[in-house]
Amino acid sequence: MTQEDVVSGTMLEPKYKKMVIEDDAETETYRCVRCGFCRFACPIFDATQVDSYNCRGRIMLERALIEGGFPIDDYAMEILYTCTLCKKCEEHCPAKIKVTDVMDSVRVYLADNDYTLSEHRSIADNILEKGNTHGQDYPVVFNEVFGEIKATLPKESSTLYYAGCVGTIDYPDNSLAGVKLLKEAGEDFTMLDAEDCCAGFLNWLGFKPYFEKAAKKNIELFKSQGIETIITACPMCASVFNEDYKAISEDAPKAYHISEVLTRLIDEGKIKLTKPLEGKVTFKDPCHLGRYALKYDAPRKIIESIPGVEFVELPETKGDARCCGGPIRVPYTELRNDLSDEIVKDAAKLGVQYILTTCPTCHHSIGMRAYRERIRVLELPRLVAYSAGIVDSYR
Amino acid sequence: MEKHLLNWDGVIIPKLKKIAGEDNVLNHAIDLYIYSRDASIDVGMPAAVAFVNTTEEVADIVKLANEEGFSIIPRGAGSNVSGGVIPAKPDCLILVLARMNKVVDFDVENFLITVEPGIVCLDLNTYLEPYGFYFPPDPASDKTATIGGMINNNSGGIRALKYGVTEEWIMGLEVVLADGNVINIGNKAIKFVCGYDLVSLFVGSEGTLGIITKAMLKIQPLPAVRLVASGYFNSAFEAGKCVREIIKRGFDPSGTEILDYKTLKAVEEYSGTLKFPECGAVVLVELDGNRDDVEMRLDKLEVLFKEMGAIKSETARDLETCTQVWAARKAAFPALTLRRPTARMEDVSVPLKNLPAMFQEIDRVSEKNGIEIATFGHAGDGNLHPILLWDERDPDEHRRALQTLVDLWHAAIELEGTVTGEHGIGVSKLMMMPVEHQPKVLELKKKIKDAFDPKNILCPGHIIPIPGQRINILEDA
Ligand SMILES: Cc1cc2nc3c(=O)[nH]c(=O)nc-3n(C[C@H](O)[C@H](O)[C@H](O)COP(=O)(O)OP(=O)(O)OC[C@H]3O[C@@H](n4cnc5c(N)ncnc54)[C@H](O)[C@@H]3O)c2cc1C
Ligand code: SF4
Ligand code: SF4
Repeated sequence: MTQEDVVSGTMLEPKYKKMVIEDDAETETYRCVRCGFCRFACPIFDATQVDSYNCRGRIMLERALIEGGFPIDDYAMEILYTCTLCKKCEEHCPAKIKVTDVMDSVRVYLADNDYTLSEHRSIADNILEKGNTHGQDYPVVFNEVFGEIKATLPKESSTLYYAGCVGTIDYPDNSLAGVKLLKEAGEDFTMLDAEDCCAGFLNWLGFKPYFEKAAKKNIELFKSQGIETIITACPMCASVFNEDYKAISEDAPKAYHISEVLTRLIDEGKIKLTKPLEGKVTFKDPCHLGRYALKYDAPRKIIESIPGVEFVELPETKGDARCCGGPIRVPYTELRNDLSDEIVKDAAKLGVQYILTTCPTCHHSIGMRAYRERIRVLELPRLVAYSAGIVDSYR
Repeated sequence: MEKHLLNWDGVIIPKLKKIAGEDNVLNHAIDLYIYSRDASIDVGMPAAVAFVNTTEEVADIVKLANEEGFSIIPRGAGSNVSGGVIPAKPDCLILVLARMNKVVDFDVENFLITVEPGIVCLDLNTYLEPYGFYFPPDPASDKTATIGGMINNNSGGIRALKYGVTEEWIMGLEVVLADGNVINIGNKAIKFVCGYDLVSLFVGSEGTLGIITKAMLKIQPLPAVRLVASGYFNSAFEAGKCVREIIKRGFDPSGTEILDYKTLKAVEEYSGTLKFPECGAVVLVELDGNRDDVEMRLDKLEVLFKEMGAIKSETARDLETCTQVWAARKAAFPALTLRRPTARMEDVSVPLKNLPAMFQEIDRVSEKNGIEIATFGHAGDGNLHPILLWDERDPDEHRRALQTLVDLWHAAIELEGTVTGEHGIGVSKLMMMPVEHQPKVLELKKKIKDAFDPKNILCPGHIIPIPGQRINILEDA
């Protein structure tokens, strides 16, 4: 392409099929002033140091595709799908560009027009056919983890503990600890016979019609069981229920992340933390609990309640917290590792023994890298259950 | 712009990769497009993008440019608003220095720090803060602006009124010249008049004279406090007069900012929480130093605001309130960008006496062309940022917006000012060079460029046009 391809000053000569996205999203791409402030924020830019992978580059590319200036080739797909939707750029963008809304709209266009990655199609198939992202026999796994405890819970309640597929499959002890804590504290809640994935990934990858189908199925199920409130240990699920399900139906239950509930139970004295965790710890704010839901205090209050803990903040924390890269781990595993490595590096400089988090995806991504620095990643529910004497081990 | 003429794929790219490393040279069309723009409205396609990590790599690439005949545009973060990193001809390489971002030497006894050019202004200040120091030039873009970019645009900020612009804080430079030779200029001694001041010549040269690979910077101890006062006036005209009086009476402010009515309204909408009195403009004044002295000056300032006809005035004496006041100023540009799809920040600067008249001119050209303009700026040094708002997708509105720019520039020159106080010429404002400067002055500037870069390798068509270059922005519209 040469500058001859630029028409009317700043617009590109349409040479390829124009990408069509929602009007509001399109206007956002024009509102970007290309200041580059997002260089300060975007974790993918931080890892690559190439502006094309920065928020500014993505918005410029999106605009160019709207103008029909480029074909959607493999590289364009990579740029558009390496955004983790972490929202950190939105904290720093002076023009308040709704970067993730634009990305959502772009990905819907891509998926609708068959621009998809085979790895993403596999995840979609897993969710649609097997009810979980990993493609496992989820009802079996779910029952292995929760079968016993479920038998002790009321069959009916307006409050549901929703475990979430990533947590249940990857960190069953943590998911189970959440249930045990609520039970010990005397909370009135139930669990489903079998769960289906919240389907958030379908939404993030642009498979909107499939997402809506899966979401409606879940909403119907919740409704039929009289569920008004959901408690979940996965901040991604919570965000999907509160934002995306609510956008589909007013009937969607209100979701709470378990850290919010645990803080209340600790405050009310229903959970007493007595066993200490000796050591220095830090906390990694999950993007979906932090920037998406603005819940920064709850996990910190919990950590402060655990005896023995010496808590230090990461240099980039709360609204400025780094993203672990989890949402792009398939297929961009190396990039995900780069992102998690930065968090581990920051934690190592603080001299901590533990990185605490409260998201199975953060747990997985950072955990895969932290062992090299002899740092352990722990999720709060299991740690709290340990400190409360409900489970024997936190690791 | 015509197509590139040199053999990039077969010859230049492989050689660049040999110097900078396989992964550090890009030429996919998408990358070229992303690096074809900065925060200006201009665009120009490079032939390749290279990322460098050492002075030697820079020197080798410049030597290669001499052998192969391509041009080089040094780039920091690409946040300039004057088309400073936009190719004006084919066969340009964008040379990204942002990865050279280390602190090389911290000579705290001499209040000096030597850094690579890619270090970001805010990161530098974060580094200095625990030692009780800071680097005073404070562009609003400090989150992204690199020191190399700041030096080459001679950037300023709110506190330029008291602490000056970047120029005043540069003690020495390592520069790769256009022939690939590396020189070191400047001195650690504060007083230094040993022949022509080459350091000052490179500052503000917009990458046209040499590539900066290291910079020795002066630093300043952090003041004990910084407090703020705001005075609300019926018109920007009256506010402008008050600013002059504040300076005349020796208040020694570190910054005096003006926000006009439209900007304030936009900030109110943007924040959702801030509420300003009905007024034509507000003057924000920052005073720094030790607390007793600053408090005393604040008291007197309140009296002066009244004397100058302020409808209302407020002082912020604690950090939290001060931060809130500055948050309003910082929100000015963002708030305005929400109003229309295209927002362009202008940079006219006039002598203080003519500041009120400049506000009137802004209203006039806005009305004449039917383009909305909201204005704020560093009133204390006469540097205003009128923000033009339009939709570049509408060809007629786009043409009128460009006409408004040109009218604004002429108005500033008529008022004995300049088209750019701190953003530079780049390729965006070339057409105004012959209006602002006498022919002899332009000739001298060209001779300086020729002396440093006879083959016109560095940023050709920036500051000084090349033959055949389209510089009239109205022609394209
Ligand atoms: C929202 C916004 C607010 C801004 N606020 C201000 C402000 O308050 N004050 C102000 O002065 N400016 C401001 N700017 C303009 C801009 O941010 C500054 O000019 C900044 O210093 C540019 O730094 P950069 O690293 O982005 O440089 P770039 O844009 O990459 O480059 C700027 C110029 O420097 C040259 N250059 C860069 N590095 C080198 C090097 N190592 N050697 C030789 N040449 C080099 C380039 O060729 C170019 O000519 C603002 C811009 C935006 C978008
Ligand atoms: S910070 Fe916002 S306006 Fe600036 S380049 Fe990034 S997305 Fe665009
Ligand atoms: S959402 Fe996160 S990954 Fe995506 S552009 Fe913004 S900062 Fe980068």
